Amino acid sequence: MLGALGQHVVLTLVATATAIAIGVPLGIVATRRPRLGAALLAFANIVQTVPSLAMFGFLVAVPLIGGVGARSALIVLFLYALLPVMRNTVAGIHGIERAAREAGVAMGMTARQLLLQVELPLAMPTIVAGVRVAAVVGVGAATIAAAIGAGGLGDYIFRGLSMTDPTVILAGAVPAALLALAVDATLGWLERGLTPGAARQRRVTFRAVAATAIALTLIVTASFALSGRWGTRVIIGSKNFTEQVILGELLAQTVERATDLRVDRRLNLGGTFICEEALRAGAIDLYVEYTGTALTAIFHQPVAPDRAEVYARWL
Amino acid sequence: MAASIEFECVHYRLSSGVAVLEDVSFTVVRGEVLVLVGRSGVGKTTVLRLINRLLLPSAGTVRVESRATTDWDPIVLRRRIGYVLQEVGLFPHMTIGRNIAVVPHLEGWPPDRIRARCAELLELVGLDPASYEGRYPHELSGGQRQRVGFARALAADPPVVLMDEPFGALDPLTRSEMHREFRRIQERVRKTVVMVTHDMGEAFALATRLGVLAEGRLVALDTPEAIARAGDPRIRMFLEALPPVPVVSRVSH
Repeated sequence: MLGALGQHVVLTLVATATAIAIGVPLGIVATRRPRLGAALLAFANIVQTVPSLAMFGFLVAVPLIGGVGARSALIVLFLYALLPVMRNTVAGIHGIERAAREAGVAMGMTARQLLLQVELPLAMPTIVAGVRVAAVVGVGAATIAAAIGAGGLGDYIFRGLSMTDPTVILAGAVPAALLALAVDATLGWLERGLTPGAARQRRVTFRAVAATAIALTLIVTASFALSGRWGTRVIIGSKNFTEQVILGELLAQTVERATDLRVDRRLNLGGTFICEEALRAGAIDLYVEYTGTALTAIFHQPVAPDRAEVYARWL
Repeated sequence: MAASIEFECVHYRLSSGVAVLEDVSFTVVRGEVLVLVGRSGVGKTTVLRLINRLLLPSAGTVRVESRATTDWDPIVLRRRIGYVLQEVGLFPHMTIGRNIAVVPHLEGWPPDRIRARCAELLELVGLDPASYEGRYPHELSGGQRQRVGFARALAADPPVVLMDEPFGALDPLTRSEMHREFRRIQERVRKTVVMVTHDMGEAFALATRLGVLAEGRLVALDTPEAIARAGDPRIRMFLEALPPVPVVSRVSH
């Protein structure tokens, strides 16, 4: 349970931090170049309207950035977090009192000094409000990430759904809801602290926020770089119901016992479609499929009523 | 007397082609307070923005310290010109001390010197450094904020100070108090000041010389006394439309 919660927190945190590291600069660019900004915001808007389950499924088949596991989940969550962060950066900078900006320019600030000393600090409460939305939405969307084997609290929800056991669903849903509330409260507190005239620690927190975002991005990038393929390994997947998870585990243990290959388990993936796409994309090497399902769903053959005929064609 | 700012046949047109200023020429002498009056939208603020190169003239030349603004590096020029706005434009996220220190900070002064300068300026504008330095703008009254705005404009000891309706947002009592303060401070610092206002009373109270802008042209530029006696109907009309003139001018002289 704590492991799932930890995974969930890491997924949300890393996706949000990356969205800050990329969304804030993009937002700044958008205020400087309105036409490019409109295009960027339109893109982020469209991304936002794609249902998350569809996006997770779609991304499995995309080369390089796709596949199953935490990486593609992070990309989806990052894309979702991007819009609120970017839009609020734009709104925050546009919302600054004309007099403050004009005073800065008239006192001889360069564009960069104006940005760092006036625009960003004054836009900070609005930007943090955007981050707050992004993080809370992220906690919710991260539950769906379990469909592509990213782990997190969604594992409980999907397991509960396939077991038709509400208790198991709640074991995932309640912590996710509490996590969302905690994130919201924490960022709300930060937002109020950053509002001019409210607090005195804001210079410190402004730097702390920036530093944390950068540090997290670096850690994630590094860990992805380091987790590259060392030695030969076999990735075994499974669909998202108990029998499949057991079959996948059996397969994994068999490979481990009979060979020197390392086995990565990506069990409990979304379903036939995701497993098939993952297999085609090389994100998994092996999963157990049922003859009838393979015949109709994957090879698009007509449904054959005679068992003997089916086996004859396949074996 | 040395010229500090010169306008030579300056025209300013908006990109839409609308003329804001037409053929404006005048000279501001070092150490004088030139007050420009005129209705809203007559181009008063444009004159100020041409001086610190927030705008460039469509035709003609604006010179600051004998050099055309087009030849100045805008950043260098602006740091030599103090700027006070009606809305003050103090940075709400910075303390009073940090607000005053903006330009010295940009210029890379050592911290000790910035702190000393800050205290000196707060004294000058009549605010106790010990109790005001660490406060934030929202904790101050309008008049106090305007004092800080003036201190900030003077921070790096610029030879020129531009003031855009600096006392326009204050109540009448605070305003006349600020007028006295301004005269007291100017007595000491002797800056070249260009101020714009639509308050004729204020213009008479503060000006060394007074310019009247109408329809984008400078229709008069003279001492307040001469302006008050002017026979030109454009100026007379203007004076009569602004009732507080005689009262305030008697108080101030």
